[in-house]
Amino acid sequence: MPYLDTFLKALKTRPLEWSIENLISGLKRRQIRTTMSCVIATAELLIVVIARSKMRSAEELLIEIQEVGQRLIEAKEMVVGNIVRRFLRMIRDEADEDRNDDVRDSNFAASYAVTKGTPLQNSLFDLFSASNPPQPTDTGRSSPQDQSNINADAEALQAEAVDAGQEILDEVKQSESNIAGYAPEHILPNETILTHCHNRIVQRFLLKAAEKSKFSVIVIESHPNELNGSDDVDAAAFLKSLADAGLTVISTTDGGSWAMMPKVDRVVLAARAVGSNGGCLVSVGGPSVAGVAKFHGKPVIVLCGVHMISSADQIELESMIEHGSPESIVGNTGGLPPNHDVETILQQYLPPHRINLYITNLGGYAPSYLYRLVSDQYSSKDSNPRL
Amino acid sequence: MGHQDPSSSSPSQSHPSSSTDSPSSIVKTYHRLLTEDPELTMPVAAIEALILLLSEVSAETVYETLDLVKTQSDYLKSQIPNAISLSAGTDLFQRYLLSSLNPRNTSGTFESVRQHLVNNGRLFASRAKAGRDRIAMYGRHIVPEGSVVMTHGGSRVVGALLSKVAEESASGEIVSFRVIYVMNDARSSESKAVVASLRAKGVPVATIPEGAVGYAMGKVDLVMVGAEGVVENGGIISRLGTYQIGLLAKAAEKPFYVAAESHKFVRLYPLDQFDLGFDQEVINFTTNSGSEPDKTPTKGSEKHDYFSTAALSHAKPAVDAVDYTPPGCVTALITESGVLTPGAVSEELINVWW
Repeated sequence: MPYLDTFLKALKTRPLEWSIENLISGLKRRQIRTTMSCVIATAELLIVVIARSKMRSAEELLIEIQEVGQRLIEAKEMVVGNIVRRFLRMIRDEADEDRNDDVRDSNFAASYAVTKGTPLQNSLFDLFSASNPPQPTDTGRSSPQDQSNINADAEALQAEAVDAGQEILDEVKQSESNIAGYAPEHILPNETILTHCHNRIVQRFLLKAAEKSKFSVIVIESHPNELNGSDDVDAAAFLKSLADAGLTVISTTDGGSWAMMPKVDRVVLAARAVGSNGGCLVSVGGPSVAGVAKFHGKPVIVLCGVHMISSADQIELESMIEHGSPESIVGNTGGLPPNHDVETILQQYLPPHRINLYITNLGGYAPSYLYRLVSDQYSSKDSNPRL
Repeated sequence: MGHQDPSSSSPSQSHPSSSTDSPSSIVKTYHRLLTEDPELTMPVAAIEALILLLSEVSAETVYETLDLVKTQSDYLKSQIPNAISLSAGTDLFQRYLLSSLNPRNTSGTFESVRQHLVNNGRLFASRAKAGRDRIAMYGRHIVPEGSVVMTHGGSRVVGALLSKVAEESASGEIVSFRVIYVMNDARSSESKAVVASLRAKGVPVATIPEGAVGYAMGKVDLVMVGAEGVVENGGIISRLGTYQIGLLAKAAEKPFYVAAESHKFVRLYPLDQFDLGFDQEVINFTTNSGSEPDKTPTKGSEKHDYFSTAALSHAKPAVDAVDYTPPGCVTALITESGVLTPGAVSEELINVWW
């Protein structure tokens, strides 16, 4: 990942503004391609923003991160927004921990909402909490304090935030191997696993399982497969790695999914972006394979890191679908007649009722549970900026 | 309806009674509030009526206050045929009182909380309306360009949502979406009013009879309805006919959205259509040939419930009838907190009430 490496090196030496601009243009021009590199780049950038911030309070830091985040989100990469919101939630949690050490008397409704992080709780009681006695968890402390006290608190928060940000980054970096760690539980010897396209996370998953047992893999090739998403590896390399690991590998085309499905034990797909309703974006052609699997009663497992899970719903996910180059379909013909259009979407929405299980780096979850992960990871105060 | 407490038949403890404290007054206040402000929803009217009661009666202890609110709420519920919606409000209010009057939790004294409530009575109504506007903001996101929306009933939330989409998406005179409105024969004036107001905003509206819902579903992109109550499993209580539309939408794999403010969430877990806690004069067997069975509300039809000693009030007239749409038919609920799956709603409700 040459672009990522250069970016990370420059991050340490160049001014912050330069790095932000660099990342935005890298995202827009798709020079930073895989979800993993997008996430790492964003997380590293945010850690530097926190470390170099001249914040005097948690609120100032939040505003700074929100401003940077707003610019990054313009580049339309879903995981970037997720990481920004993760950081915001982290800072809020750290700030609240510090505050709760000092403040004893908290308004019930506010503190309940803080500890539970439930958005609905807020709005149910919001109906009543008009100009109540000033809630201690409000922004800005009213009690007179030494200036030095505030500075010391801000510095402590800054240091904690940098550490916590580093933890988020580490978790993300290990997410793929954590997901793969669940593979031996889900793939038993002599089973037949079906997958679609050549996703890197699926590759690691299958290879990890191959360490423990031998099984067969049916790979549905979706031609032309150079189109399919940025988390895919080269087709030949994918197939060779599986074969070298001792697995029986069968390649077939999309049409083959119907023919082969009765012999399949499980279908494993990887998601590009996941919504809180349990639906996700997969490589184009994936939903058809999942539909065939459902018809035959075969379980469909989707792999994703929790950093891919956002509060989006179907409509928002579908608005994130990328288009590829028409060249892959019609070749270099040098112009088409006006009534000939080429549709080259790269991803497609997979609805929750076709998915049996999500395997994330934090474990396996039913699609109906994902909204919980969303409310655990993000604060409702940082909800969709579009509104 | 296992968890509704048997209501005491009349407020039995002694508290200083003023002339406004007679039992019928809370019902009168409730009706007065609803007629005065057509934008007010039933739960908020119930809350305001209870707050007015608090301001007129001086309860001196926490227990007195809570007990007073509880008995008055139960009385109000027993007198109004359509109790589900307003019970959402009364239950929410009681829960709020419980939490804010708990000495462990309160940051103010009992008197200050009471004063705060009394002083801000009208504020809750405007807050609730603001909730409706927040829901309308999500409309733009849910109703894509060129789509056909099916709706029915007279929900003000849905009306506000569709109006907002119409305003924001119009380029010149042309609004970008269309509506298929399912007319209700029993409430034709309400139906006509809704259709007229949509058309006045430039929205092309097609009206169909209820029998044509299945037929028309193929042309529909999404269904949007309101609710009188959202129940604990994420299902909804809504105008009779909603369940039907929900089933047909599910069969045709069309998204079914419910727009409801969070103060409509109610402590009910119906197991089927007939488990709502009250009778509805919808299915009336008779051998009277010729005239239609009388649809005006009658007393009687006492349903003997094993677990409840409550005498049921007069049954709900068919024109106000509601049905229960289970969560399996609902794609998502649009509330002030965003677009939620039924599972998320149900968990939040459990968190609040237990």
